[in-house]
Parts: sequence; C-alpha cells; structure tokens
Amino acid sequence: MLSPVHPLQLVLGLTVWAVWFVIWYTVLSLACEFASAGGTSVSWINGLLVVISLPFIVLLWYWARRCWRAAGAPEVSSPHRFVAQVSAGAHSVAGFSVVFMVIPGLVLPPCV
Amino acid sequence: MSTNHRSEGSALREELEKVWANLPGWGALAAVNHTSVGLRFIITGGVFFLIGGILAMLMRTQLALPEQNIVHAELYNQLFTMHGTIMMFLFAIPILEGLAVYLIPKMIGARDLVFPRIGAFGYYCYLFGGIIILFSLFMGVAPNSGWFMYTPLSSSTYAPGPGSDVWLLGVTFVEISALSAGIELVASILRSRTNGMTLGTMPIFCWYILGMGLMIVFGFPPLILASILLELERSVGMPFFSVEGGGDPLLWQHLFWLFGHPDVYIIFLPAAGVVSTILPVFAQRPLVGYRWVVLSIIVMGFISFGLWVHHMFTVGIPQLAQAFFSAASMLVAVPTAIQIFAWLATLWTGKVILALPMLWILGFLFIFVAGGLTGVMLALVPFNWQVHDTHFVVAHMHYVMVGGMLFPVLAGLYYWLPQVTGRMPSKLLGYWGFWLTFIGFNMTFFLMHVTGLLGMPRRVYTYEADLGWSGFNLLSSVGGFVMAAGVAVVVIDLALHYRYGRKAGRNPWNADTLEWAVEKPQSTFNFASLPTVRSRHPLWDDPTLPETMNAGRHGLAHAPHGRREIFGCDPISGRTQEIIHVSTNSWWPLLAAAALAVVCVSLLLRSYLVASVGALVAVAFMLRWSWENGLHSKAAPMNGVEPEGVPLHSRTQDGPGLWGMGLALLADAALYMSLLFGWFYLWTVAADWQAPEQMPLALPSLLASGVALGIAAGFYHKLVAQLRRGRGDSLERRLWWISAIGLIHVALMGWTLRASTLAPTELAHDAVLLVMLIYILVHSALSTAVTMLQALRVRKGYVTKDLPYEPMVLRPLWVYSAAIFWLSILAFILMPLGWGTV
Repeated sequence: MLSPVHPLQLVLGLTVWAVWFVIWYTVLSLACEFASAGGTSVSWINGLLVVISLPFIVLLWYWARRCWRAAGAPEVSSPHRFVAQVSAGAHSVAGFSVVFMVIPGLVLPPCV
Repeated sequence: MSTNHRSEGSALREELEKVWANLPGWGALAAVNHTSVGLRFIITGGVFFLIGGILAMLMRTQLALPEQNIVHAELYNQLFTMHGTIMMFLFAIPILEGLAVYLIPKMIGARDLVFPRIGAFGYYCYLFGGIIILFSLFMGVAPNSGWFMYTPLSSSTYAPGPGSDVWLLGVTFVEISALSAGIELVASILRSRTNGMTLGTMPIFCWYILGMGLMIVFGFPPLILASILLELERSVGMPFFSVEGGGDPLLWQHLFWLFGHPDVYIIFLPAAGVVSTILPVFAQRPLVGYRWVVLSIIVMGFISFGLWVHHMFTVGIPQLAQAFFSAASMLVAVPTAIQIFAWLATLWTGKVILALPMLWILGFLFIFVAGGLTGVMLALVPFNWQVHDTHFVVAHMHYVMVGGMLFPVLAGLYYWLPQVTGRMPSKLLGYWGFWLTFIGFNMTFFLMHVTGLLGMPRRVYTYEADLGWSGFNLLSSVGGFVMAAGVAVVVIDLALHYRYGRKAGRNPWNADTLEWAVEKPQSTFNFASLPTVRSRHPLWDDPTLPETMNAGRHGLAHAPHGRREIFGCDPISGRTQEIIHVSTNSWWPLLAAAALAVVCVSLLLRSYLVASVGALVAVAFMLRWSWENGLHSKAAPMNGVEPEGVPLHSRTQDGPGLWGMGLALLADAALYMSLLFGWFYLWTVAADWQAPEQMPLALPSLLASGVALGIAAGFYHKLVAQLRRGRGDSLERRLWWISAIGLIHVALMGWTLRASTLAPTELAHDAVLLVMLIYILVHSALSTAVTMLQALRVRKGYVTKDLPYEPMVLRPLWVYSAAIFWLSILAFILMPLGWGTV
C-alpha cells in the first residue's frame, strides 16, 4: 500500500474520485440506454448508483484518516508531514464530493 | 554591497555571461533561455490582446445602436469568432505561460527551465500559429462559427470556406506550445528547485503553476483530438460528427468542453497565483492558510474536469445527469472560496499598502467574486436554460475571465515591471489606467447581464429598436470605449516608463521571493550562485541574500567548463541530488517550428505533397535536435571538468528527461482516452452508428504485428533493466535487433492497413478505427526510430553502460506503445466482436 507520506497521495484521492465519476456517469448512461424500463421514476438504477458509490466514500475517508495520523507521527520529517496533511485534506474533499454528487441520485428519476 | 563583493561578482558575471549569453544579432532567434522566451511570450501575447480588443471595439460599435449596418453579418460572425479565439488561445493562455516561464526559474532559485529548447519551440509554434490565424482575418476568410466551433455549423456543409480549417489547424499548432510549456514547467518545479526548497516551502506561485501545467497536460489533448477529427471530416470526409455516417455532432461539444471548462481554470490558476504572491507582499505578512490554498489548488485542478456538461444543459441530457454536473459545478466554488477567504484574511491581518499593483488586485477581488456568483447561478439547471446563449452568459464569462485573469495579469505586470526593466511605472498614469479600465469594464459587462435577462441573444449582429435593449447597449458600448481608453493609458505608461520611469531599487516592494534577488542589469543566468533555502520567505529572512548570491557565495558559482548548470533536486525535500546541464542556444526549435508552419499552411491550401515533405523535414529536424543531448559536446561540454560529489544528471538514472517523457505520455494518454471516449460515445449514442457486416481488418496480421511490438518492448525493457544493474553487453547490437523487430511490427501494421476493407469516408465506425490504427503506428514507428538513433549513439560513445540515462528515458515510450496496442485490440476489436456488433 502506498505510504501515507508519499507525494502521490496528493493526487490519489481525487484520481479515485475521477474514476468514480467516470464509472457513475457510464453506469447511468448504459443503464438508461439498455434498461429503459424503470428509468422514468426512482428505481433500481438509483440504488445501483448509490451502491457503487459507497465503497469509494469509505475508501477515501479511510485514506484521509490514515494520512492525518501519519502527519501527526513524530518521526515524520517536515516535508513529508506537509504532504500527509494536504493529502488528508484532498482525500476528505474527494469523499465529500462523492457524497454531495450522489445526493441528486437519491431523489431524481435517472433517465428522464 | 562591499567592494570585495562587487569585484568578485563582476568577474563571476563575465564568466557566466560567456556560457549563458544569447547569440548576437539575428542569433537571438536561437535563444532558448527562459528569460528571453518568457518575455517573448508576454510581449507577443500583449500584441494579440490589443488586436483582440480592437475587434471587440468594432463589435461594440456595431451594437451601440439598433439596426446599424457598420459591420455586416458575415464580418460580425468573423469578428466574434476571432475575438474569442484570439483572447482565449493567443492571449490568455500564452501570456500566462510566458509569465510562468519567465518567473518560475527565478522563484525556485534556478538559472533556467529544464527543457529550454522545448520552451523556445513552443514559442515559435505559438507565434507561427497565431500569425496564420490572424492572417485569415486580413484575407477575409477568418473562421466564423464562434470560438467553440460547434458542429455542424463549423462543418463543410455550413462553413465551406477555409475559415474553420484555419481555426482547427492554427489552434492545434498553438496548442503544441501550451503542452510544451505545461510539461517543462511541471518537470522544472518538481526537479530543479534550489537546495532545501521543499514542496511546503516553495513559493505559492509554483503550486499554482504546477496545477496549471498538469491541467494543460490532461486538458488540451481532448481539443487536439477533436480538432484533428473535425479537420479530417472537413478535408477527406470522415464522418465523425455527421449523423448520416454514424457520427454525432454532440461528440464535438463533449470533446471541446472537456478541454474548454478546465481551460477556464488553466487560465485562472496562474492569475490567482499572481494574487497569492502579490497580496501578502502589500499586506506585509505571509499568506494566511498556505496549506489550505495548496489544497484548494489541487481540488480545483481535479473538480474542474467534472463540469464540462454544464455548457450543454440544453442539448437533451437526463435530469439526473444534469443534477450531477450541476452539483459538480457548485462544488468547484468551494476551493475558489477558500482562496478568497485566505486573501481576505491576509488583508485583514496585515498592514495594507495601497500601491498600484494592489489596486488591480482589489479590482480583481470585486469583479471575480461577482463573476463567481453568476457562475453559481449558471450552475443551476433551470436558470441556465433561461439565459442560455444570451448576453448574460457573455457577461458572466467576461467577469470571470477579465476579472479572474486580466486584472491579476495587469497587477503582475505593474508588480514585476521594476524587476524586468529596473524602472518604476508612473503612479498618475497607473491610477488613471486602472480606474478607466475598472469603470469601463463594469459599465460594459454589468449591463450585459441585464440585456441577457431581457432576452438578447449573443452573436447577433444587430437588433430591432423596439425590443428595449437599445439604451443598455449604448451604455455598454460607451463603457467599452472607456475601458479601451484605460488599456491605452496602461500601454502608454508601459511605453513611457522605459525612458522616464524612476529607477527602481533591487527590491522596491520589499518582496519575499527569490526573483527579486536577480542582479541588475538583467542577465540570462539569473543568479551568480544558487542558495540553500529553508523558508517560504528567503528575502524577508535574510535581506543580504541577493548580495551573497551575486558575489558567488553559494552553489554552482563557476562555469569554467562551459556548461549551463542548475541544481536537480529531490521532488519533496528539495535536497540537491544531481546537477542538471541544460541546452545552450539552438536553431533547431525555430527550424522545427518553421517546418511545422509549412505543414500547417500546406494543409490549409490542400497541398498534401508539400505537407508530407514538410512533415518529414520537421521530423528530421527534431531527430537532429535530439542528437544534441547527453554527452554531445553542444549539450554538455566537458573540458575535463566533472562536478565533485554530485553527478551530472546525464550520468544518473533519473534525470528530468524521464519526468518529461512521463508527462508527455500522460498528455498522450489523455488524447488516447479521448479517442476511446469518442468510440464508446458514438457506439452507444449516435443514432445512425453502424458497424460493417464483416471485420474490415485482417486479424492474423494485426495480432502478429502486436506480438512483434510486444517482443520489441519486452526486449527493450530487459535491456534497460540490465543497464540499471550496470550491465551493458552488446548494447548496440541489441538495440539494432530491437529496432529490426520494431520494423517488422511497422511493416505488418502497414500491410494490415493496406489490405483492410475500411470505408472511413462512409462509416464513422471505420473512420475511428483508422485513426486508432494510425495512432498506434505513429507511436511504434517513433519508438523504433528513436531506438535506431540510440544504437547510433552507442556507436558514437554517447550512450554506454556507464551512461545509461537515455535508454531509460525511452523505455516508457516502448511500454506505452505496446500497452495502447493491446488496449486498442480489446476496446476497438474484441469488445465489439463480443457484443456481436461487427
């Protein structure tokens, strides 16, 4: 597993957010294309979109916690502490972004 | 400065001048150092800004009164298209790139960027591309479909003249410059900071430019691909965007805005970087919330890629998808707000000096916040529908772009002017320039919100008198001329200050960053020696640092060997780990760009033979350029002097070239992903998408070519792995073998293409397939050609087991070529077969 003070952590969480974004939009598009029945009201498609988002939220916030703890470790050097702190923030924001963008999926019909 | 310091400094200066000076006379065209290239970008961008502004004035003159006919409809279409194109592609991005190219090495305590020839090449691509685009206006054949060139309006049916071709080819040419700047800036910031400058202590401007550079790497390729596809459609009839052949015009919109929306942030980030740099200097305290600002830059860099569909809310997208993109559009306001609060907190807790640059910053804060608020309004779907394609959108865009970019750029111009010219601007003219511009701008564009809400569509060349828009338009036009007067005063101030400006001290604003340690008069090597830096504010911590630096008391103080040297650092800690020797003056960037300009013009004239010859010449120039690398006497004159302790980068296994290759391949991958997106988009969405009844490609030969490519890449990988372990047996012979296998792959691919039954002018399916095959072929042919070149360099002694750097730089190219081949087989051939569509 990538060290919590590795500089790639700065972009890892938001890259995962981007992957989730592509998956979410692709699933929505394909579901509406090939499974038109049920797309005109809140349906299983909404459920699917929420379910595929949950692991991302958990993973991103887990990473945020891991980076935050690493940033507080006394043996971590100052440059690496900076990386871990900012990464913790980036992972948190990425997780929050998934939550915020999933909310419309709870109430709106997917294919109208 | 003491007498001793001064005499030591002048001797050192002479020694460094010999190594770093530009060639005299016309030889200045071969200059590659960042100061010369950066200033050229800035001045050229300024000229394009004035031209774009004149076009805007013509439009405002036409719209001042109803039912005027000063400018006829066709010319008006050309004017708004060219105004947008010039301002976005020839002014905003290049001038900010120029600012970054000029400032970054100075801020990070380096003497140059890590790829100086790439920077010079980028400038010439920009210059030639810009001239080609501009020339079309004077020839009366300028593009007229709007600066985002929507299909089918820009397709050959509705835009039969050369205007769209000029845009597509010219803008693509200019985009080479943006990509090259993006790559070299990112590599330079990460790998060439002065000793001790960590990621957390580098100037905040560097974070912004890092964000901008990476966004360019990922953001520009979709438009480059879209432009290539549309040009192929227009010139040879491949129906990517035509419904009849299985294409879809909305694909253009997706690809364009995949670039277009991040582009707004590509422009905003460096401008905000200027604000974050200047504002603390005039607040006389460090920026509040450095970490928060860094976080917001990173977040903005990602989330801004997820908003592109909010430009397409009216094209018929499901509600949920609209809400999804609406949410993303609102989210991006959060990191922007973080920065605004950080700036306000800095002002609140500081002692603000209201100098001229600060005035422009305050103007920026006012206008940009207003533009941001209308941006949040436009993120709301119902409101967006109401004002779509009205003057409200034009007003919003100008509040964001002028407020978010022009004002900070002018603040930066006034701030760094003494650094460049050694003289101060006039306060009186400066204040007049600001207030005229500020008042004129708000008068022009605030009223456009109103005309937009009243229903006035954008891009109409006139309107009837009884619609209730007349008074607003007249005032708007008057405001436009007031703003133009403000810009004119600024230009006059700039012109006069060279002669009449008060002489500036070395650090007239009491700034904290290293660019103010550059000795006057300006040199091309920046610093006589490179310091160790321990904080974000080196000049506040040690005001004598400029003197000791220029007296040669720090690192790399001498250059008797004749090499242009800078520090190479660990990306996180900033610890010096090698010495990077960068290129000296070179004609190759100019020659290669000139050959590409010939290609561009020949394609416009449909002279494909000349274009082919031009392309071959350009490739030849670039290969010759690449020859002058590594141990070549022009790249690294040795003169018997090797540094002690820290190696030259060409003796290591991890120089900046490897980072440059990685970044270039990321851009390449973004282009490939855009092609993949296009393929799946057309497959699932295009109404008339159809696949041929039989597979148009001979699979056995195609797969055999892939096997050959895989073997070549595998052998190359193994060769590099052995080099890493210090083994280089039969290096030249093995490189020739790999080249031979690469050639077998190329021959098999060529044969497969020749034997195919593709109908690329009839079916979008086949057209995309052909583009994919050509894309693969270009990569594998390039990998093969550069490997042959490596074999020759082994023979010359430029590459050995003790000098393994170059083969390592090329390894990712081989891996990438093989990876995209097999990914393409999966996505373009096997998946459709599996779904039974071919």
